[in-house]
Amino acid sequence: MTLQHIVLIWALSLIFLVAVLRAVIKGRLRVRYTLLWFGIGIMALLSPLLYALCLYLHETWSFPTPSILLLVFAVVILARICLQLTVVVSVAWRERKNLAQSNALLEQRLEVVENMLRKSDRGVSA
Amino acid sequence: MKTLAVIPAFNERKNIAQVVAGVRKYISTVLVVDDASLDDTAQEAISAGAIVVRHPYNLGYAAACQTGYKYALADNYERVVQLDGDGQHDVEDIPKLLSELDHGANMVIGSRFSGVGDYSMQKMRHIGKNFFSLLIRLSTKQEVRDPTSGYLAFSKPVLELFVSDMFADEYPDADMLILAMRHGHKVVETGVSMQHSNTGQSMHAGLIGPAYYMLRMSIGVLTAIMTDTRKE
Repeated sequence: MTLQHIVLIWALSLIFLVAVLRAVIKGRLRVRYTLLWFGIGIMALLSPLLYALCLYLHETWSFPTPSILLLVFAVVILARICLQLTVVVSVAWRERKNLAQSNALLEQRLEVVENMLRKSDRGVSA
Repeated sequence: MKTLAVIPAFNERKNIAQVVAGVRKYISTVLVVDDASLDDTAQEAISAGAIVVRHPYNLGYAAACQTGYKYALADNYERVVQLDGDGQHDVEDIPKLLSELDHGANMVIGSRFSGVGDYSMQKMRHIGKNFFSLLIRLSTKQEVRDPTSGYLAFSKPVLELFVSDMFADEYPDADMLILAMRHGHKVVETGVSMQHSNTGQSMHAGLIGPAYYMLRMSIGVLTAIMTDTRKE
């Protein structure tokens, strides 16, 4: 890995980390959902140091090339991110459903109260 | 005993008034949960004497049923009878369902295949029904001939279970029966007569629909079987 490669990787990793941080600061991303993204950014930052480890693992685990080993790791990480996202969406769906149900029930009760008030108003005016 | 009839409805303008009027012969309080219908279902139900709760947007059949259960619990109803708004279920069978609750059952399934009437279904749906009956028998050792019936009655303990987050999010059928049984509730069947729906299209029509339903319900059944009942 040449110095140019390392500089390029560091630059891209820093841009990625800053993008995540800006999303948090602007309130578009909740802190609790950023941990994995920060982890990935830091891993990318450290990847020049992990290069030797990657070469060692590809030889030890008999992967045809180091890139296939990286692909396997990338797929695992992506699957983990997708799972986390679907969990978040599922929880949000359930909360939204409960809220809509509560809203519907409250509206019905409000209608009952309004009708009672109207009737009592008519009684008073009569 | 305070009893509520719950009718989940979506675009049932043509039938809902007749269904509500029929149910009111046996149960004075009828709740129609209008799942954001695009027609006048809510107005028709109100004019027929029902209480109507309207979802702000379409939440699906399971959520509509659950809204009814939540209403029942909040108003201290002790028994609920649930039936469809398309006129498929014969309201004359309501006393039979309630009678089973009076005799100690916690949940009663209005079964289309218990010797009453001559209801028939497509071969694929029949296979699916038998498959879920088998799953119920394997997981609870109880025979249920009609695990996909929407004609149900249940008592307060089952209501309390069904308002929890364990309730199905799409199709409350075999999975909910297993859930109730695994929580120690006595579930029985009673024969009811039923007609084919004269409006709308079945949600299990076509090829993809039933396949999706089978897959989705199988996961639901697996989840219900694996639910740890000791938490409660």
